[in-house]
Amino acid sequence: MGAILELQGVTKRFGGLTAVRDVSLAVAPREIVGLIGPNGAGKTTLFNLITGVYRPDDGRIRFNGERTDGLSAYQIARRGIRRTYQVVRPFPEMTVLENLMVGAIFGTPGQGRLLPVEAAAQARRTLEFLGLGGRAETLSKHLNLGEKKRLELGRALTADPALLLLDEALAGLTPSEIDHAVDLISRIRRELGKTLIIVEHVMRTIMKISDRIVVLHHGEKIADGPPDVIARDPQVVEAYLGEAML
Amino acid sequence: MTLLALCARPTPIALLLAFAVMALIPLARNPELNGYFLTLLDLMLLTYSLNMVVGFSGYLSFGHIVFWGLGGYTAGMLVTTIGRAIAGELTFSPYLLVPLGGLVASAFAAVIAYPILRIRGAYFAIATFSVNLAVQTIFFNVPVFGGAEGLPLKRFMSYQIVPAFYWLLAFGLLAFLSSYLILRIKLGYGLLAILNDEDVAQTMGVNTTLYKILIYIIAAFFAGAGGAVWALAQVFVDPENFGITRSIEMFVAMLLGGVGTTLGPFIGAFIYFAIKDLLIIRFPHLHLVFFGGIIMIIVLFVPGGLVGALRQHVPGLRRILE
Ligand SMILES: Nc1ncnc2c1ncn2[C@@H]1O[C@H](COP(=O)(O)OP(=O)(O)OP(=O)(O)O)[C@@H](O)[C@H]1O
Ligand SMILES: [Mg+2]
Repeated sequence: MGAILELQGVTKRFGGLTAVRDVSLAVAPREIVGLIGPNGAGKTTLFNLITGVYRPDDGRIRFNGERTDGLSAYQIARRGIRRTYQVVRPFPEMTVLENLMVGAIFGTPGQGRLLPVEAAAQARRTLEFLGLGGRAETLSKHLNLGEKKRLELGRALTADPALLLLDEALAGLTPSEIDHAVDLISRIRRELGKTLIIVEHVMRTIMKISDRIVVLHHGEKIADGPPDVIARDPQVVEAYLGEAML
Repeated sequence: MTLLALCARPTPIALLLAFAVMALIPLARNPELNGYFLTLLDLMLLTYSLNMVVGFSGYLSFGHIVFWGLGGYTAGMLVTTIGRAIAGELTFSPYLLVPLGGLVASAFAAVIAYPILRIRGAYFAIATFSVNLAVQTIFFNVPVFGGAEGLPLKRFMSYQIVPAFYWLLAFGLLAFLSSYLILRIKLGYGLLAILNDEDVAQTMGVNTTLYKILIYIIAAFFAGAGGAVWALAQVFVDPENFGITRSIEMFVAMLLGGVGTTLGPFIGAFIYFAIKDLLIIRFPHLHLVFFGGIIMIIVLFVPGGLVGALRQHVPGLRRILE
């Protein structure tokens, strides 16, 4: 008990390929978990399983103690999980404000789910929080990558979810944008009390912001622990052989 | 408060005025003028209906005319059945049956919505087109529905164009107001999310299946009501009520005006008729061919139609032209 998210023996196969194999994992409320692993390790697939885009072939997923594997994506979202995408997917033909309003209008029961008028106010507050206030009326397809990533974060935040899954929210950003985003992430936990799972390739950053690191390799969880321990784990170092680790 | 906010917007005010002015047309007692605007209003209503599905959810409803045809046959069957039962002309205005045409179309939409709206993209377009063909074939071949000859209604009712005009005007206004309202409530935001990216919409908590079905049923109602008025105005309905001509016309009108806007179908219907008149004078039987070309040109160069282009090129119009 106590875990906000709990995975037990979760497996997902695509034809002959096992993208996620027997992964068990528990995440505590307000924890920041860094999820790392080489390309193709199964990180995005794990997010797709948690959010109900795919159903696990095996295993169980519980959110706040309730079984969610088997629910459809929108039902899981309504229980309080939101995500961002590795390849950004803002609603291109909607303004930045409208994107965030959708988040608020379809938010978690009791927290989000506002009327459109209230949603607009909520969206504007979130835009200020993100430093996107000046872009409210811009069509989101006209934003640059850094802004699109912040928009996705905002669209998730206006729903007031308990758990946020960030899929490479920092990749492709400039060093100053990364600093800004890192600051935002720590404020999201500190000021808003969210739980986060963050997939990231920038090692230095992920080690710094995470309470705990989970390492996937060929779909399997090969390590799970505090950042400084993980950085010295021989299995992890081997998985990353050929790639710059730190 | 909500009503006040509505009044501060130019689009609804302008359209309410335009509908009010159009209500004066029959006062001229000019049958030709009445006929012209009857056709225009019919197309406008259909275009509003089509726009709710295509413009709001992004689903290309190519067989949309099926709802119009079903509405027409509903009116036709009711008039003939009641007429035969009382062996003479209907003792009440047959136009009171119009809402039933809409309801039957909605019921049909409700039945096919779940399976058909699971199909995405071009396959959805083909599926709706096939549904229309199948329904047309049924009406063509089943004797109860009059078969190829259709259902003549003149034994049971008289030809009255003015009530038809006002019924279409009323439903046109209702379709506009519904479109305007839908885009401002939760349903509208959900649909726009689906239009932009259905998978993302789902992971943001939008019950996409429900929302697509809802808008399909609402849109079908307006098309069905329009088809019922048309059948009664013509005092006749036959399998041509599922024909291709209007299917093309409503797409052209929607594209010309501006897909997904509430002003677009209104303006689009007018532009469509202006162009059609010009073309028909010069090329009496070829105007549909030209409209094929027009569709391609709009889709390639002015995808937003007139309203979209104005909004894009004149900053500040985004809030005014809705
Ligand atoms: N829908 C799918 N169909 C088939 N194979 C898939 C699908 N999604 C992912 N895979 C495969 O599953 C494996 C895990 O992919 P996944 O995207 O989860 O990796 P990742 O850890 O996110 O990698 P990256 O760091 O490159 O984003 C890969 O081999 C990928 O090709
Ligand atoms: Mg990935």
